[in-house]
Amino acid sequence: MGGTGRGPLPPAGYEAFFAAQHAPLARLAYALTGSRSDAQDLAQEVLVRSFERWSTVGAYASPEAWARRVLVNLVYSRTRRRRTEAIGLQRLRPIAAPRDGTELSDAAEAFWAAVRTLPPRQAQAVALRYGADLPAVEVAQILDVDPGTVRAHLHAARARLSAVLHVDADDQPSPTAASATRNPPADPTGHAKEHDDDV
Amino acid sequence: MTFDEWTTEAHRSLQAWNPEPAVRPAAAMARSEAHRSLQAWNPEPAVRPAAAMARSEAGGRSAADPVATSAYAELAPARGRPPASTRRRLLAAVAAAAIVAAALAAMAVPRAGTDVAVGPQTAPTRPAARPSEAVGAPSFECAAADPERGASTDVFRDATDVAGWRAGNVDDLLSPGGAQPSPNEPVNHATGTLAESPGEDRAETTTRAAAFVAAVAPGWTCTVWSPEVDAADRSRPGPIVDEHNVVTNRLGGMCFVPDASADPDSVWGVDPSLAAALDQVDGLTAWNVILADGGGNRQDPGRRWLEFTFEADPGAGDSGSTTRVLAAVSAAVDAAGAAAGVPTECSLH
Repeated sequence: MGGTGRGPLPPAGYEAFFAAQHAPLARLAYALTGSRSDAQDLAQEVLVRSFERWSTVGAYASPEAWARRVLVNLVYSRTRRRRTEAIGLQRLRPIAAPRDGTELSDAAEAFWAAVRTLPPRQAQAVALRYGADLPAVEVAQILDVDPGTVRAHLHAARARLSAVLHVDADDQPSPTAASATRNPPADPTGHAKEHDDDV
Repeated sequence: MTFDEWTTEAHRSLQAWNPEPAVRPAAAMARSEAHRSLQAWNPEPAVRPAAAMARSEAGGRSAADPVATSAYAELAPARGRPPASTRRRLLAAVAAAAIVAAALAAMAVPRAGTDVAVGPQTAPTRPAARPSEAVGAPSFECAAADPERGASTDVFRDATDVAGWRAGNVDDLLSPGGAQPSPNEPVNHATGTLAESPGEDRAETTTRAAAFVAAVAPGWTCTVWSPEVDAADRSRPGPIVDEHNVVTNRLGGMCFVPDASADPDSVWGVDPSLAAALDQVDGLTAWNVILADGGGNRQDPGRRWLEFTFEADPGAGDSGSTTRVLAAVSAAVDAAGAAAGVPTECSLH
C-alpha cells in the first residue's frame, strides 16, 4: 500500500489527516468508552470511513469536525447495542469488568468514568469540551445543536459531576448559571482554556 | 479539588496518552479495499426483507411462481450496506452461496398459520406477515439508565401522552412463554404506546415522540417508533425518535435463539454460519447475541437472544407500517437462522 509500492497511494491530504487525527480520535473515544481497544477500533473505523469518502470529506472546511461527529455517533450506536449485552454479562459474571485502560491518572480515570454515567448528550459535550478541548461553538457544530444547548448540557453535566466527584462545595455551579452563560473566549487557536466560561 | 482542577487533570492525562499506532494510513486503506472487494463480490443477491415479504404474501413458491424459473427474480440487488467487521465479511464470503440458497428455500415455504407463537414448547416461530397492518400509535421501548437498580415507572403513569405501557425486568419481559413475576428484581425495561393521533403528520409525531423521550429521561432511555415508515421522503423515512432524541430510520428487534448452546465457542459472538446468513439480509446493520440467562438459576441457561438493528429504506420497499416492516425483517432473520442451522424465533415487541 502507500509507501510500499503495492496498492494505491493515499489520496492527497489523507495521510496528513490520518497522522493528525488518529490520536485525538482515539482519546475522544476513550473518554466516552473507557476501553482502549474500543477506542482504537472506533478511531480506525472513523479513519476508514474518512478514507472511503475522502474526495468529499477532504474538501470540507473541517474534516476533523466531521470525523469527531462520526466518532460520537459510532460510540453511541455501539453503546446502545452493548447495553443489553452488559445486562447479560452482569448475570453471567457479576464481577467488576477488568480494566481495559490507558495510563491515565486515577483522577482522570475517575473523571471520565463519571462522565460515562451521564446522559449521552451531556457526556458527548463534556468529552468534546474538556477532553478534546474544543470551544462550545465547535462542540455545538459537531453535535448539530445550538451553542446554548451545549452550554446547558455542560452546566447540567457539571452539576452531576460535581456531586459524584465531591467537588469543593464553594466551586459548585449555581442553579442559574446556565442562563448566565457567556460566549467562549475568542481564541485564534481554537483552544479554550477557560472552561468555566461555558458552564 | 475544584471542578476546574478535575477537568484540567482529565484533559492533561488524556492528552498524555499516546495511542499505539496500531493502524496506519495504509492499514485503513487496506481495510477499506478489503471491505470494498467483499462488497463487490456478491455471489448471490442479498435478501431484502421487503422482497421476502412480497414473496411470502404471494403464497410461496409454486409452479407459476417466477421464482421457480428465475430463482432470484424477486430479490433486490445488493446495495451498499453499512460496514461490518472484516471478519464477519470474510465469514460471509465463505458461506454466502450455500446459505442464501438455503435461506431462499426456507422463505419459500408457504406460511400457513403465521401468527406468532412463542415458548419453548412450540415449534420455531415466524412473525406474522400480514398484507396490511392497521396504522396505530407510536410505540416505544425503554431501558432503565441503571439496569441493576431499575427506575421508577411513575414517569409513564404521569406522562399524559402515554396510552399504555408495561414494565418489568428485562429478563422476564423477554422471557419466552410469558413473564414470570419477579418482585425482587429491578424494573428496568418498559414497552408501550403513545396516544394515537389520527391525521397527525410526521413532524407532529416526531415532536410528540421527542417530548416523551425527554419526559422520561434521565431515568429511562427510550426509542419511539412511528407506526409508519414514510415513503414520501426517502432521505428521512422516520419519524423514529431514538434515545438521543434523534430522528432515525433504525428499527430494532429481538429474536429468541433456543438452541444457541450448540456452539459453545460463540457465547458472545454470533455463530459464524448465522453471521454469514444475517449478512445477506440487506439493511440489517448490526446484531449481537446476548445470553438469555447466564446466572444458572433459570430453566434455560443456554438460551440466548439475538438483538438486531435494521435500517429501513422506503426506496427498497420498506414502506408502510413499521410493524409490517419489522415483521418482514424478523421473517428474514428467521429464515437466515434456519438456513444456518441456528433457528431463531423473532418476535415483535
